[in-house]
Amino acid sequence: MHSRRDGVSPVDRSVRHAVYFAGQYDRDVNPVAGQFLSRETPQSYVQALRDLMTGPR
Amino acid sequence: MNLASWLRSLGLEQYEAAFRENAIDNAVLPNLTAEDLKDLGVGLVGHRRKLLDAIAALRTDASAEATSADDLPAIDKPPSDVAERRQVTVMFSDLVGSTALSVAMDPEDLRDALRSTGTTMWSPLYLSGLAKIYGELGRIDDARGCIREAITGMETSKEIVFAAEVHRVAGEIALRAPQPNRIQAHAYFRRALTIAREQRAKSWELRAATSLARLLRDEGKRCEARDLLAPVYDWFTQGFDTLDLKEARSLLDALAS
Repeated sequence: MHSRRDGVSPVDRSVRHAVYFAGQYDRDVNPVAGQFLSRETPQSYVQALRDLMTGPR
Repeated sequence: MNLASWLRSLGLEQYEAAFRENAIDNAVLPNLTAEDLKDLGVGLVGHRRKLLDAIAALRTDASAEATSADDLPAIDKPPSDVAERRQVTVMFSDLVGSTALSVAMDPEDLRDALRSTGTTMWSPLYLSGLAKIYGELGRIDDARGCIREAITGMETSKEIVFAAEVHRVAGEIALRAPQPNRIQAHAYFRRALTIAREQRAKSWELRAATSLARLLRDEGKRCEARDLLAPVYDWFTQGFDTLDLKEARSLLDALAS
């Protein structure tokens, strides 16, 4: 999970991170939040985790 | 300071040409007024407010740099990149179950446990939390020590994601000292706001705005406090049951009454 407006670690940095994961991988970009997703959009953050855990494997 | 970068950091790069054409440089910028901004073509009130806040932060930054060596450590900025080739060894380490341990252990013991792993990650945040506890206990020297260690750690590790919070806590410590230093607190809070805005860290911006708004309220500047905090609070659309947002709401309600 990465924020499009992250001012410390630009969102483009995670574009190619899939190569580091051997198992299931999903990249979720939050269009609103800033640096700390879990603090700034907690409900969206939790929902994204739930979707990942209950989604197809 | 690069004026164009500064405007970009505020999301107001459209005014770069107007600033340049009117010979606004680093010497003139800190003295710009609302009227000047109107003359420059900054028509929207929100844009003028944003610029005036940032200009005020520049002024307080300058005054903070003039504080004595006995005061809290100087407000830093991320170091500039310098090309260098070195052979390095990298070790990744962490403390298993640190969240559970943070509940079970004394904060100082947890800090020592974290140090024993050799890890520095998140240390600035832990240290700012410990500084806050020391401050509440009246152990101001210990609190200052934690802030110094946090700032030194950030300079070494370049882990700047907690810089805004470290500066905010430094401001709170300045207010809790036996002889509260409001000027220094202002400077630290404004610096925390600037860092949070540069990093687009809304959660840290909310905390910094709440701390500064509380200080402004205590100085009788209720309108200024409300104008500062309200737009930051209004950005949030969820998480209203979290402590930071509850505190901000409570302060805004008090400022409105």
